[in-house]
Amino acid sequence: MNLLEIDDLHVTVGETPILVGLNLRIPAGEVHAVMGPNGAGKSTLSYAVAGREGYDVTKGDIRLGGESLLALGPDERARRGVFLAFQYPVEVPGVRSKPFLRAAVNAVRKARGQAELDPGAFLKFLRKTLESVRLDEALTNRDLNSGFSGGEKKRFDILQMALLEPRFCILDETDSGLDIDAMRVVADGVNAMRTPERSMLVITHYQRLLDYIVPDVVHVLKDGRIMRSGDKSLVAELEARGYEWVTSP
Amino acid sequence: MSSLFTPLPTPATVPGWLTIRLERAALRLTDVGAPTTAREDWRYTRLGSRAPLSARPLPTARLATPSARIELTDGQWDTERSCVPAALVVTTLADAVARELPGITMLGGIADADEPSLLSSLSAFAGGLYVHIPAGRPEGGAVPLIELVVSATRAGSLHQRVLFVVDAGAQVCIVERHQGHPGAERLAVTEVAVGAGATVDHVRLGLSGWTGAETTAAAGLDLGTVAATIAAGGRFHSHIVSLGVGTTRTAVHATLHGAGAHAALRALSATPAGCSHDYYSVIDHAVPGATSAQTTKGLIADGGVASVVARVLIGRGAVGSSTTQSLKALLLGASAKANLKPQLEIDNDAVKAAHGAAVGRLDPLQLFFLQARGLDSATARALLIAGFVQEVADTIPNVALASEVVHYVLGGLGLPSGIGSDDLGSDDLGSDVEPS
Ligand SMILES: Nc1ncnc2c1ncn2[C@@H]1O[C@H](COP(=O)(O)OP(=O)(O)OP(=O)(O)O)[C@@H](O)[C@H]1O
Ligand SMILES: [Mg+2]
Repeated sequence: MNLLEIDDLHVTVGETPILVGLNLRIPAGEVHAVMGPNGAGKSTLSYAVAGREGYDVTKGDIRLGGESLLALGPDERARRGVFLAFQYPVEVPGVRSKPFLRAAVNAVRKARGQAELDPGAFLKFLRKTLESVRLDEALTNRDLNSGFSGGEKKRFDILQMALLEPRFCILDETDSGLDIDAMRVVADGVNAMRTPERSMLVITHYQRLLDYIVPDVVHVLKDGRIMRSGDKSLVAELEARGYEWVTSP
Repeated sequence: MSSLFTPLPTPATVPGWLTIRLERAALRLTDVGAPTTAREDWRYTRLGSRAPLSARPLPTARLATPSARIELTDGQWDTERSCVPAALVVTTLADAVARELPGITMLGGIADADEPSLLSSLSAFAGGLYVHIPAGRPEGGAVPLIELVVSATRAGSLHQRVLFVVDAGAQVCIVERHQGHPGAERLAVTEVAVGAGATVDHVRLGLSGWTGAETTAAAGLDLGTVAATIAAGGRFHSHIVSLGVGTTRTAVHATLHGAGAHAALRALSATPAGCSHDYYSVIDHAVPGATSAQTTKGLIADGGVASVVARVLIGRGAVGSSTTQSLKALLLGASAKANLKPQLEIDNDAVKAAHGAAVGRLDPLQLFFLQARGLDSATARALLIAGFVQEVADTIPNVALASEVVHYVLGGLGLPSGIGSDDLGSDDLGSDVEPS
């Protein structure tokens, strides 16, 4: 069964059409990779799924578990299980990480009909999860992403993903800026979250990440559409030949 | 309003120095008159007719137990409800004048600007309070916390005046809560004499119109002035928090009188619809080698107006001074309005000065990020707003008071509070001095 279904998606940013008829289906339990040249619309796709304002869907549909997301705000999508690890995680000075994390965890737990975690129970859960992504608790006592190094921000996103236990995850270039060890840690964290119910969309420019997080399907996004889909061998072909040769679907 | 600026006759029994000061003030006030928007330093204050507004519920105070609690109700010292330890001298200004208590000659002499509030309030000094803070720390070495509750229980005009004399080397945190009747027109003056090497944190919580009962009245007027003089090596940290319902204007005059003296003036305001919050500050570097900083942050809801005029005066002789200024306003609605006026008046080149002023709105990308983590938009906004005020709140050297301020700010703007600083252990709240 498909968890995510995108039909004939047209997305306009400002006045500019960026996605022009994108189709994508991701069955439950699968990990799909999306690759494509700079400016192809990969982040636009992730924002459209997450519901960012200003990314206007002018045509088509995005469904999660059969339900259209289009009329829902970003918070409602998140509470239904959509998670986006940002290409550029946002710094929020003044907002302490720990209370934010607890508020977020409790918001999604409440939506799932689970009991909210009291501060003690949350702290336990947080410490366990921190260990799994090998992050220091000290980071969670600081302001959200504020002054974090590039790699710390990315790992902090993975921490949030692990805490929120989403149904569908988009990782937008989570590997960029990570050192080799950190990439491994992130990949391990992501792989640990692979379950038969959860699906993922991994956006990347590099083969290396896909050696660690092995995708079921690889797509090439170019000129606002999925131009080609294939198995993992497509990655090596792209590495060897670039994107020039990928022309029509 | 006008009755607030009509001086009372000078009593026959006051000593010569005070007679001179009172007469001079009365004369100046006759020349200067009641404030109007024609004055540069009052240009933004909405003094005219004010539409009725309803009071806000006053939550139970969650402040850590103060070492002293002093109540000034309707301009009179309420001894029954006050609780003052032996080390502290608290009495009426009239009594302090009669007994020539230490530092009493500071009364009316700390800022001699032609500020109508200061001039007019002086004649009504008699019912006001004198507080003397001796050097040396009591129990456990903690910084003493003195709480002054200044309230109005009725509509009408009212004078409130307090003089704090802080001895050399002393350290104290003073919190004034100004609260009460939504229809009151109040003129409250606080003078602080900071002794050499002393450190004073002064927090003024402007909560006029916050009462126990929901009522609607012609919106009140809260005119507050804090005047401080800082001796060599002394440090004065002012935290003005304006949350009043109606029109409020708070002015802070700080004069740096000795080398190494420091004044940090911070202001935080949350202006609801129909209200106007004004902040005017002036730091006078009267001597060389002193330092100062001014930080203001304003949150303005739709239909609110907040204005800041922040001045620094550095004369020809005040070489080696250094000063910084940062003025920020966050507009929370399409018709919210902010006026920010940084004014650096510097007369010599041997000075370090930095300043910036910015009016902005909540960042849509930050909002999206928080919402993408499952927080609804009201919660996400509240979190960002709490984050905006946290930086100022964090400078208040009492953790309980700082988090109380954040709660008031969110509550005053009708936002969900209890977020952003929830109890996950003390490490979440910073680790500043916590008085016992
Ligand atoms: N606010 C905007 N106004 C106009 N064009 C925009 C705006 N935001 C994005 N774009 C354009 O949309 C196109 C797609 O951008 P997007 O960020 O989705 O690319 P990408 O595939 O993620 O690229 P990269 O690999 O560099 O991250 C780019 O040409 C970009 O300049
Ligand atoms: Mg991108």
